[in-house]
Amino acid sequence: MNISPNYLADSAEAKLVEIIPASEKIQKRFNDKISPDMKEAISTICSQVFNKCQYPYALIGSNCYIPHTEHSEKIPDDLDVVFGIQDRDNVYVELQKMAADNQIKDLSMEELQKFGKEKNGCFKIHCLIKTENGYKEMEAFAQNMNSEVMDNENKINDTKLNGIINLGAEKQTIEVVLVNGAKVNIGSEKTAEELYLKNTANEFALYNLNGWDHKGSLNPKALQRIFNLINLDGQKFEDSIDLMIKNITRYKPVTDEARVAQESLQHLWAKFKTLEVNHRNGEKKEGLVNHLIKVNGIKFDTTDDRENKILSTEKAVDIITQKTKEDMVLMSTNFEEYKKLLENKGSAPAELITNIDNQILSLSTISKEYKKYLSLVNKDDKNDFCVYAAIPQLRDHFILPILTKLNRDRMKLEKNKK
Amino acid sequence: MNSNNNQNQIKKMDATTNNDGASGLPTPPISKEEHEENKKAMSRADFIDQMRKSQPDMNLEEIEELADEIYSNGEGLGQ
Repeated sequence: MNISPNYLADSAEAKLVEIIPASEKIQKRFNDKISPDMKEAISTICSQVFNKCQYPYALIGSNCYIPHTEHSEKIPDDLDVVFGIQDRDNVYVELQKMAADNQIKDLSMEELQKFGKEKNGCFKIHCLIKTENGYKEMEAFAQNMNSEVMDNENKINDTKLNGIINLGAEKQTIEVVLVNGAKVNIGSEKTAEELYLKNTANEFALYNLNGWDHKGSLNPKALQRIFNLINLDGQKFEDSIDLMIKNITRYKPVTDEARVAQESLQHLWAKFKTLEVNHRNGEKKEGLVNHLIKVNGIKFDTTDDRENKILSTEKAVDIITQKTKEDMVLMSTNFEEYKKLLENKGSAPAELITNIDNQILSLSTISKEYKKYLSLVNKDDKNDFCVYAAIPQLRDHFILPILTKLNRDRMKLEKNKK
Repeated sequence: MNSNNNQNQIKKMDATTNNDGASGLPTPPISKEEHEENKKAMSRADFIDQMRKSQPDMNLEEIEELADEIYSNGEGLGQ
């Protein structure tokens, strides 16, 4: 199935990518779940730019995920595309024409780097696509394809697989949906799974349970990836977390980040499984997802238990990631202010102790709240893992170290006062 | 189902190997080494003593639980 008159269907890259019409189910979900504004942006950009490509392209990210999951209330708010590096110049020229016609704005292109290190030869093109009601953000990734990644012996050169989804380098299936009359390529369910697994590896690699050696902070996206992965159509929820952990190193090349992510998730999952099912008084635990949904007064318009459970988990992940982020920022900001006060030679010990006591009170309150969250987690409810995963980082890397430091300083200040 | 809930939108995807890891989150303000040093410099009993002076209204059991978490090398998460 060809999209573009320019498409080089006989190229080695195209031969590795099967392009098929989307099933009625996927087309219907796309129609129902993607907003009219996003559809407008997608049809505009694909018909004017990507459908002119010579090599395969596909929408990935949320516009690929949402049609491949049965239950989700999420609405994609941006647009991610992968395409061949060979098409980069032509894509950019077409986008420049659109910019000149005021159909897009803020057009830019940059070479990507691997984990903030060396440049990797892939390019990201960014712009905002004009729609009837505003703008939709697009990030399009020009990535290596077959010809760049094959070595002299015609084997895939792992080191050049520099995009998360490398079309034309490995076997992929792309599904074509019709959007406002335009044919649009979206990744298959397998593509969505591969993307989330690889992204989870990247993000969890930054989340080292054993300490501060990596960049340090739990990325809230990582939790959302876990949820998205276990929510794809083809997943059996009961086995999904074990499978996800196993699959993190499934894709080549297996990076150090993927191994760290696997280890971190395994550690966290093992910890989760040691939690008690009941409270000390024998009462069954409510479950943290259920608790967060209840206290936030959220109700879903469904009588289907499975749908209710999935939507509850999806929402609870949003709540806990937002909350942990706010608390991390609050604790860090307060601590930085205290450090400034400490560095100010004019600060009296009594003033510093008052500041410390206020911070300890605030930290103790936060700590108590998360302790309560932990006490509500029910290990028999695997949905709870997605929200539980946010908590250890907050306790181990923020609450407890700051509390220790403040008490140590308090002890020193008390001695100095005498 | 409310399919138009704009507050529930998917977070932006980073579909590349480009990842600064920051995502707007603060880095932990205290290094692992400094935390270990702080623990060595102050005994569990000193920690409890300071906490009681700082927060006289706080329940002793809660203070001890915090001390347990800190002085058990971060293995106190499975509560």
